[in-house]
Amino acid sequence: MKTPLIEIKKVTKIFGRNTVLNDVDLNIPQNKIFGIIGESGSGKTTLLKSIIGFVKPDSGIITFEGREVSRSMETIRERFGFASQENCFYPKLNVRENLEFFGTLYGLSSKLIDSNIKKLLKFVELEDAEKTLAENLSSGMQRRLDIACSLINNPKVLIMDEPTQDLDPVLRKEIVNLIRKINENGTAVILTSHLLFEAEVLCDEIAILHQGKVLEVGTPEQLKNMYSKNQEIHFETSPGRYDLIIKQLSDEKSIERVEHKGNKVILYTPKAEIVLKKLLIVISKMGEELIDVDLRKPSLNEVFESLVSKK
Amino acid sequence: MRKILEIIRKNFKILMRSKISAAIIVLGPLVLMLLVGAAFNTSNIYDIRIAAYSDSYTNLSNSIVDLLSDQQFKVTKIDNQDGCINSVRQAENHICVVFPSDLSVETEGEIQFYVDQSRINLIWVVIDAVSKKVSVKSEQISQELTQVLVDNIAQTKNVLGDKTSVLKDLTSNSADAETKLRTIGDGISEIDLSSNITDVKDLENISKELQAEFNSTGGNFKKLDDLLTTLKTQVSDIQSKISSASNTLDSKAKEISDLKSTVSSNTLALKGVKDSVDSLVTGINAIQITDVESIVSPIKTKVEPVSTDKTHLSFLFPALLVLVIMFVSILLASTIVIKEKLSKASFRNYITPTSSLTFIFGTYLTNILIVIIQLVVLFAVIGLFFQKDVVNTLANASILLLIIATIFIFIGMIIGYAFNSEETSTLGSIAIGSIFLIFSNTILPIESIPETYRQIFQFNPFILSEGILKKIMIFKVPLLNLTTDLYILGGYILGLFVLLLIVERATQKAYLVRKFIVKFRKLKK
Repeated sequence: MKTPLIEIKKVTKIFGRNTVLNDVDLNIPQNKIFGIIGESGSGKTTLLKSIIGFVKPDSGIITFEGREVSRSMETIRERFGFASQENCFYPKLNVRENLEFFGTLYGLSSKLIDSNIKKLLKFVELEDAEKTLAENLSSGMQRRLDIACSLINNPKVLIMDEPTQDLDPVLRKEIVNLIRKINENGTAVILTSHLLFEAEVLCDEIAILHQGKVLEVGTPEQLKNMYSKNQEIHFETSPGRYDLIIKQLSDEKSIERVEHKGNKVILYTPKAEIVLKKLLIVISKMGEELIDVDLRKPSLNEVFESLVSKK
Repeated sequence: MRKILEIIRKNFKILMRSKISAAIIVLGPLVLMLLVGAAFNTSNIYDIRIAAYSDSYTNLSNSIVDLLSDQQFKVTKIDNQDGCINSVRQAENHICVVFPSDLSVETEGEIQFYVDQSRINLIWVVIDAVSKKVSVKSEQISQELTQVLVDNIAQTKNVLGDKTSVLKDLTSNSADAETKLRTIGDGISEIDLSSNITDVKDLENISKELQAEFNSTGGNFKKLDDLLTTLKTQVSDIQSKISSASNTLDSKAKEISDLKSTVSSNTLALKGVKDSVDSLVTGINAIQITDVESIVSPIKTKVEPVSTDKTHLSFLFPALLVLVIMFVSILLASTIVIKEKLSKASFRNYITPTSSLTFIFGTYLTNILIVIIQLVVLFAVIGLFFQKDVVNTLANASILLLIIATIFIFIGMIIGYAFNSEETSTLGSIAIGSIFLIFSNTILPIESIPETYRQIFQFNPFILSEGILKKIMIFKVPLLNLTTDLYILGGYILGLFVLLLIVERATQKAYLVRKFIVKFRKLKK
């Protein structure tokens, strides 16, 4: 087994009367996109800030490539990039000036700063906005600038705290693609998110954090297989007499849950093939026109709900 | 070093891109200096309003009012005393002068001044200015009165001088009369009126013996007897007259003796009078100062300034410089630090491999450069428009100005690190600056506060800075002669730098963590 990039051993952090991290054990692998998911206030950001040494754990050890973080702060600062929930740059400096400033603080040579800026601007697609004041950028551009600032030192690890928070779906997709590109370029990414579907499509590995405790770690597939027997049948008919359709399927006891989502209906069942067959017969009998039908594996959302409800 | 330069560059860019900040940095000292220069480049005070009241004005009180009514003062006669005093209370006038009724040299009236002592910084100037004007009139009257006295004394001296010879003659004549009287007395006492005919009885006896002889001889002695009788009668008359003359002589001799005594005592008295007159004349002659002005003001005082500068601006300039440096440095430094601290970018700065000392130096150098820019503008304005010689002191003063600025920048940075919001930081800066200003010599002399507090406040950096700057700029003392003051300022810099490091270490990360915890708690709720 490969040596983990970051090892978190029995880390506990308490703020006043709140135990934010409770005996957390976690291994973060090399060169992957590692997601930490959890509800707001579950300790995700505290865990990220503990990894970079900003928050000092009350007990436990965090190591980076075998070196204790609290004793290797210089290395941590040089090798890590951090994109927090807020945009950490100067609004009164333009894109290039912000990158130059942080590049200098990382101790990079002017030449290296220049070449990094050139690459980054292209990478985050901000070439045309090089001379634009940060405060005048759109929110998506600002997020990209913040990520660029986090990457100016060519970090080995990029930590991103809720990178898609407050973004519209289009911008969110942009950032997700960008994160993938960053990882493809060889940078390990550790991110937090409360948007589970996003983490599911983006992360190679996920840790589920709840009330300061790591409930489970694994690939999205592993987690889904572990915690959900159900499959999802998504269907859409016209004219869409869903109540009657569901009534016709009422003798099928394997259907555990029915959800209406927009014009679609989702059926949760461990016997998807049988239910799907019955569904198609009912639709046909009722003279409904089938517009769309889709058989899906359970979402991370379900896994999460399942895990959290157990606790 | 590159990091420090980049921090300075960043700070300047941010500052300059905020148009108001940039305008304040450049225009602030320019406008301030132009206004102060135009206002205080004079040694006078203007527009002092005086209310005057008297039950009945006399020539004297009117002449004082006329004297007060010049370019500097505006005098208004008020109808009643209460109105006069109230006009001062209502700040319509600066001073109320109440003249006693029928003020004249002969009457012993007091001119009363009613002043508003809450105008602490103005009142002594007003009292001094008005008193000077009244003193001029008082001195003028004194001179007139003294002149009369001096003239009379001079006249007395002349008259006495003339009469001294008369007295001399009188004394001499009296002495002569005394001598003559003595001679007469002596002459009288020498007159001998005694005779051999001791007794007429003897002459009778002789006549009887002659008669008896003639009778015995038978001679006729009747005629002889008659002759003898006649003789006897005549001798008796003579004897009687001589006796009477003798008595008269005795009486006259006594009178002459009395007269001599009188003349003698008169002579003595005259001599005494003459001596007194002589003494008076000698005394008057001995008066060397007869100049009226010298008698009225025997001790002349002249206030000579120890510096060649004369205008308010010259004296104000060191305090003004320190004031500008103090407020600019404290406010600017605290604002830059707090803005950086509150900036979202501060977290990214914190996680870069850059020490906090680099940020401290970067912030300090940014501030000192801004202060230098402001001082250049300030000196340029004052040099070009008001006092060219001020610029000459710049070489000596520049090092000191940087030291002073450093002290206040460090204070401002400490405030910036210690507070957690721009508002409180600004308030803190203004409060600290105001404390330094209030307990300095600018508003009231520190000599007016109790000893214990004075001991403390004499180390107020504002007072120290102003004092040392004054020595250099006004008295042209070389910087090398001010080593003690420089050591104290150096001690301040060292102490404040250590304090700055402590406060930065204690607050900078703590603030970021606290901010994070607050956010976490909100999420938990």
